[in-house]
Amino acid sequence: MTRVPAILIAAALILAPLGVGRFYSAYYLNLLTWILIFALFAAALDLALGYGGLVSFGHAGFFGIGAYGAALALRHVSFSLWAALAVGIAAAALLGVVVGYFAVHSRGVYMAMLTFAFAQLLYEVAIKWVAVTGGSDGLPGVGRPRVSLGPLALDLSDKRHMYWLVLAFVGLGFALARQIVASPFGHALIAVRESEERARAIGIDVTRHRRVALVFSGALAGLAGALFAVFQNFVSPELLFFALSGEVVVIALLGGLGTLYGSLVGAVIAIGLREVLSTYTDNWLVFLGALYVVCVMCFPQGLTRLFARAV
Amino acid sequence: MSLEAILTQLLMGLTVGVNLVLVATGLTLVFGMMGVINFAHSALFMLGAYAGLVAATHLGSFWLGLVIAPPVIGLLGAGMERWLLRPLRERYPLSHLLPLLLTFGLSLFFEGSAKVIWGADIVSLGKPALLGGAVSLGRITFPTYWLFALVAAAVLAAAVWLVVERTSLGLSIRAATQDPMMAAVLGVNTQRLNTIVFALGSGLAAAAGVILGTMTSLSPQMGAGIVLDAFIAIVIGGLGSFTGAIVGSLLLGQVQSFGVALLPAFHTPLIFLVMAVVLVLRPSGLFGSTDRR
Amino acid sequence: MNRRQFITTAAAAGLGAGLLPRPLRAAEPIKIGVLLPFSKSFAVLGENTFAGFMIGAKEAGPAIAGRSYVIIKEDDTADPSVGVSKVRKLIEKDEVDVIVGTIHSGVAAAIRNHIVDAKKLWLNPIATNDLLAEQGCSRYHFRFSNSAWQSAAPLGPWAKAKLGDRAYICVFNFAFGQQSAAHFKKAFTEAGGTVVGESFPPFNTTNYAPYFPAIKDARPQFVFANFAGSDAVAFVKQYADFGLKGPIKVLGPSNLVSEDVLPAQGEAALGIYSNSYYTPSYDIPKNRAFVKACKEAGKEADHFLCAGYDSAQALFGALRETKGDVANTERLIQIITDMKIDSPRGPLRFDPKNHNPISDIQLRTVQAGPLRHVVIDVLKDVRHPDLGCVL
Repeated sequence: MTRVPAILIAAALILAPLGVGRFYSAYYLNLLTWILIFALFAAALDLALGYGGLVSFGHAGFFGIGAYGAALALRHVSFSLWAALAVGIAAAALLGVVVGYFAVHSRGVYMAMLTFAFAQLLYEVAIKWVAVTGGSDGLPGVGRPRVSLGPLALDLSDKRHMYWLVLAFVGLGFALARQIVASPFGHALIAVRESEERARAIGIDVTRHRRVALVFSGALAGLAGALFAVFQNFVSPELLFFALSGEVVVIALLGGLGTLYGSLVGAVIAIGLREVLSTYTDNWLVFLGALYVVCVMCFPQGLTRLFARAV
Repeated sequence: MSLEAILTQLLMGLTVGVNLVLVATGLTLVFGMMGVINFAHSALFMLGAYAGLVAATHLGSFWLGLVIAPPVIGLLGAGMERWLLRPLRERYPLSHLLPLLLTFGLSLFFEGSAKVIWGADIVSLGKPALLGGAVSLGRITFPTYWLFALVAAAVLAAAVWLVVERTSLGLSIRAATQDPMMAAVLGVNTQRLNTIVFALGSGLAAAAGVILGTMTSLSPQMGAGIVLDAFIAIVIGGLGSFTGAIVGSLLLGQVQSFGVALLPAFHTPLIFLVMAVVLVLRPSGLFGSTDRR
Repeated sequence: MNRRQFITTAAAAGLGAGLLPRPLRAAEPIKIGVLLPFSKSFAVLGENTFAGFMIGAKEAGPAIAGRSYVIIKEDDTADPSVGVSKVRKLIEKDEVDVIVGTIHSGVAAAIRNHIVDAKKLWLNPIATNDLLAEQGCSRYHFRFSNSAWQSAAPLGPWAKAKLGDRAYICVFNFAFGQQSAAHFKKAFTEAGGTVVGESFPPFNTTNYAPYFPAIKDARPQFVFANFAGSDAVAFVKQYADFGLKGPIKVLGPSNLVSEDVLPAQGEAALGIYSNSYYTPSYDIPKNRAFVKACKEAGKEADHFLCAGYDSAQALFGALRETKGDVANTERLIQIITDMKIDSPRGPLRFDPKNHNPISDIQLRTVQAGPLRHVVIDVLKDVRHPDLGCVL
């Protein structure tokens, strides 16, 4: 992405909360927060899928376990944001280790189904283990801890503070993802995606690279989940359900696989459009489905590449 | 468990397995031949059921509904393949995810459209009078219609097997599955074959929709649950293997049935566990080939 | 006014309200936010509840004490995350004065804090969570249907007396199913009955055959069953197909055989016992008029329509008393708490301890000619017990 548009977009994102009340209501800020979280989630998936060629239909597992981890940490460990994020990320990373151990030898659809199976298992646990997870109703009232960073104090029930917090972490996540992708590890990962045999031939440990990529991807998705738990102030098993896994794959595809920032575009379209459509018609599903079909037929490389070519 | 209890549970598991076979035959045909994960299968299943309902209501016969729905939906499937799927796959032959997004979008579109056309109400497709009763199998009362479903599944599976294994069309399909380039070079019209296979798969989905819809009910989301289970079944059996699809479906049926009987608190995660175990031990499923495209 | 006009008016009003600076907003219409599922599997229930609400709105007229109102409806798709996003939209962007919703318990649990923090009046037509009458209760919340406890526990002693002392519990494996099973089991065993077995089929099960052998072998006199929507149709039909219905009766909460699934179940539902706060065949004048109004609106009366209708009665009744003043939420709460609503179900009033209805629970059985519920017993004045609600 070229410099000037990137700076403009970043500036717009940072300044967004200032217009609340004057030009638009807080609702749009909430929507943007939601979009940012899902952009991070999709970027995490893109790391594994777009760059690593690892097909995951179970990424909701990482997201959901990050969310539940954060919620449970706030309840039982310590009412602090750092604890919540740390536990959420750690849980997701751990899941990444486990899934990676079993899944990286599978190819294509088989890996997809295996990752799907792991996420569904977690979903079943969430529904059954009512005492801990609240069952199918979930855990409402996760809590909004105060955050202090030296002289800076954030009150997370203030929507603007919440937004900036989310923006900061999402930005951090994206930066991290970009670092990983641009690093030697990232290049090796792309080589593995392109041709496993050739990569092995030049001495790259294919299995290890895949596993590590999945852990990174899972951890970032877990971060997104943890942020979501605090933002929405509740967690429920839908966050682990495969419909969410499917949704994030769609977001990554819409934006363009292997572009990272495409996830932001994809999230704006998938989430923003659904919100707008469902306000105006009960039959928004028809339009959304038609839109996906049009997008894939006309912009199969994802919309970011379309813009990239134009810009 | 007593012998009688085991046999009973086996029979119940057979009904589950057989339902899955009905759905899985169409799914595996499309994936096996074309390598396409057809997310629209559940929508085609649902549309088939509604097509059957419309036909049965207007013509007054369940049987007519059962006979009319598959060709109608088969035609729909053929259209989908010809004008949407084929151009996409010709431009991006290596991508598995783009057809996925396409079929996913189509499934949303069909589900939404079904709600617009028929409303969100749950409706019922009536059993034909001929199949209304029940038979006594020992202590079990077994509905005649379910016997019919069993027979129908067996007939459909056998028919598909026959076509694939014993006809020249089937020969072309198998050749194009193994090596599309070679088959094309040898004069097989792979494009037309793709359309035919997709139409066949869609028709099978529709037949399954009519048969299973009568046992349960019709609604725009009716396909989701069972099609997912069918996916798991064919993955366990090995994608692309027809035998695998049948075995996987029947196996899954028994796992569910005995899971309910023996591990009541734990049976829901069981199928995912089984799938995970199978895939870890045999990464391409029970009967799948290791060189999957 | 039809729905589309309401939506367009609402959108325009919402947009306008968002753009106008503060002082010019004094003479605005009252804004009523409706959050219900209008798509996916709960669509019919949401549509019916909304239809009931609109019947009430029509009866109230286009203006209350000279002040007009606008209804802004949003689709929560029965997904808690979407519900939260939409409720925030209604509160922050559309700046509604009152929220009417919802149906799915997960959504209700998720939106509770957001509504209570914003101090908005919350009229809940259906969501059955016990939570909302216990630790999660709030002054701002009023429920117009029975809680999960009310739809299960009072049946325990009744079932022991009328159906037998051996019960098998078979419910869907979601919060409402699990909660109702637990309540019934406790009440039934306390009344002297025995639960001879339990099973929890997952949500979206299409084939219940594997569960039937265990039910048969346990030899209960009846099954306490709780399923919803397509699952309810599949279970009831297959239960009858496999010949269990004759020897083993079935008892459940209203959703097992409610009017949205009864036509699809057909004869298979005959003889099934259920309980509800509302039965369309209950012959009182208010109900006869209500059933007629539903037919004119193109709907068959059911408890969703009744709950929606009663929410409208409560809201517009309260607004009439305050002469259209919607800003004083405390006053509205006080009025509704004391209100005695003439409902199609009979007289409706709220328990001041938890804002749950004090309900007359109607026990019905399904009869043919035409297929409908017939009330055979009434348990009067059933309150949700004191279990931790502090208003």
